[in-house]
Amino acid sequence: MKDVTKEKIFEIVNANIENGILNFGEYDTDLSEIGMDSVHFIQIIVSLEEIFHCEVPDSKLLLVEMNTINKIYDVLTSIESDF
Amino acid sequence: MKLKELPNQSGSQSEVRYITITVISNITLEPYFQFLINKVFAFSHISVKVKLVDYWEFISNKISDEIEETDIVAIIPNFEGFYQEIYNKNWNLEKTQDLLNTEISNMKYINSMFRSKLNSLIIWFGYEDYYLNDYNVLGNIPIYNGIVDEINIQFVSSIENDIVFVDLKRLIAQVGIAKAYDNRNKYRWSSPYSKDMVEQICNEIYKQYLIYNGKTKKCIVLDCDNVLWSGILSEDGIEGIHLGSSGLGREYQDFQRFLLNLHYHGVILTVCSKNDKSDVLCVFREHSGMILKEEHIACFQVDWNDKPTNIKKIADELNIGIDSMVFVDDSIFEIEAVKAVLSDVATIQYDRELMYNKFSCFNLKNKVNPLEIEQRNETYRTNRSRRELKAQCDSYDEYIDFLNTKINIYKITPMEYSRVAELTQRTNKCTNGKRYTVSEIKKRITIPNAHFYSVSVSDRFSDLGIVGAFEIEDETVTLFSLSCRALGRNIENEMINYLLEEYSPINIEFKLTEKNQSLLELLQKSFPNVCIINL
Repeated sequence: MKDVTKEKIFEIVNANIENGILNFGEYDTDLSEIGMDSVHFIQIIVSLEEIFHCEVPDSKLLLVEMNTINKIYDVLTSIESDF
Repeated sequence: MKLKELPNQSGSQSEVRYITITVISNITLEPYFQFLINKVFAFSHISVKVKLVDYWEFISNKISDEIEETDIVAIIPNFEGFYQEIYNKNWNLEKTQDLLNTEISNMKYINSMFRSKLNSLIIWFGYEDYYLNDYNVLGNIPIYNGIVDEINIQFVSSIENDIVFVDLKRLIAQVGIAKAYDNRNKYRWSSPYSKDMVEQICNEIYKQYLIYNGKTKKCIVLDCDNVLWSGILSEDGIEGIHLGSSGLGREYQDFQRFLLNLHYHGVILTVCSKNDKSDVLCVFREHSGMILKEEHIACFQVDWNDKPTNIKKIADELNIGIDSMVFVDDSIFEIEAVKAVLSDVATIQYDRELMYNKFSCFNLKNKVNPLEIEQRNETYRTNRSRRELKAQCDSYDEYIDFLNTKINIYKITPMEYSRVAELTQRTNKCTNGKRYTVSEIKKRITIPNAHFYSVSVSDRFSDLGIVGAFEIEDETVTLFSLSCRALGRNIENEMINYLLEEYSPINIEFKLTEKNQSLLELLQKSFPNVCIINL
């Protein structure tokens, strides 16, 4: 698994949400408030898995579990620590 | 490649066209669909906006205005998503019949709903049951009495002609069952198909889009020796070539059957061979193994001249652009010569293993009107007699008189929408550049003050059928289209005279291309005061 950074997660999220511009540093903003829907969520998860070479556990595949940059970071780093 | 990194093959931004595709399904096609459909359509410089609609939401809300405006509707119903309970119950024939009746009735309902509301291309993907793991245990027995196939067959026979039904099982076969599914994403977010399979679906949607819009090749130019038969005619003689239902000649006979089928779907077959013409004609007329007959060939260019020159002659004789031609030859030398001199001609080297896939450049309609095809083929055949007559006449006017051409200009009828749409899509030389689909013509004829005309022609040699169409809205000519096979017979002048006498247009819409300059000049000369509006 590659090194996970909040900056990289921020970049991936912004690239996958049309018209949704998250400002740098807004790591606790609820992504659904800037337009993330279920399709974007799937696209973000697949992009994260491709880029960080990991697999998000099914139990974490809920909007409420991964709806901010900080939460996504926590989920991804917890996978890392599992290995 | 990352999801957002679309290939940029479109050149300048201004060349990019935008279309909308609505996908109605009970499964999730993301995360790949939006990315892959844009990747595929980028080859035609088209950017696609995708709208994903849940099947049940669609059924309950009927069709929203947003869907009505879409260019393509793809319906991808998933049998497993609807009928999971089939696994767990004691299934019997009676239940199968009930399910079948329900399915057919639902499909007919959706079908009629589409027809009354939509003018877009509708693609319906059939059911598939290759997801069943039971086959691994039981062998390939149709465990549910072939219900999926039964529904597909009944549905195909009940849908309207203008809904395209795609056999999803065949698409899965092309990808391979083992590679078509993705269990991880199936159980995560109901996305059962792999990236490869979603790409195959996207390719099929693109193919159907090209077919719907008439983006096809028109003509095949065929070599003879080791293409239509095995052997060298000038050396082996008619007795020495191999052609038949068995042995060395079988692959060539099968290829001829394939070509004959293309002919019946409207592809013009021509022959370009380095041989003595009398020998080649002798094979066509007398060899019992020949599937193709002389009447299937629109033009024989058989002599010892180089092939690029002869292909150019065929294009001139048939009045078609060389970019609509496909050249088939077994010789790499000939293929390379044609590529070098006529780079717009598509080339296929004869190879029984690989060549059939390359014929996918023909985007042919599955359902065609045999009468229209026969009329078109007959015109190309009889053009030879017309040329001979022209050579015998002292003047062009004498030739036209002697042809006894009858031109009929009349308001388009519903039976002719398909033919006229095809005409506008295929015509490159004598056209103002406007292209219509059947749906667009249906829309156009409802516009007040818009008048849509068909032009049919017959002469002493044959009935050419509908060869032209034009349309005028208020005082603007919006369509002017005449088939290349009817050029040079004053028909375009008759169409212009009709417009002058009946409507006195003041504007003409025109999209200038490399091929229609002469029509623009004719229109400017005939209507000296009109304003040309760029399309």
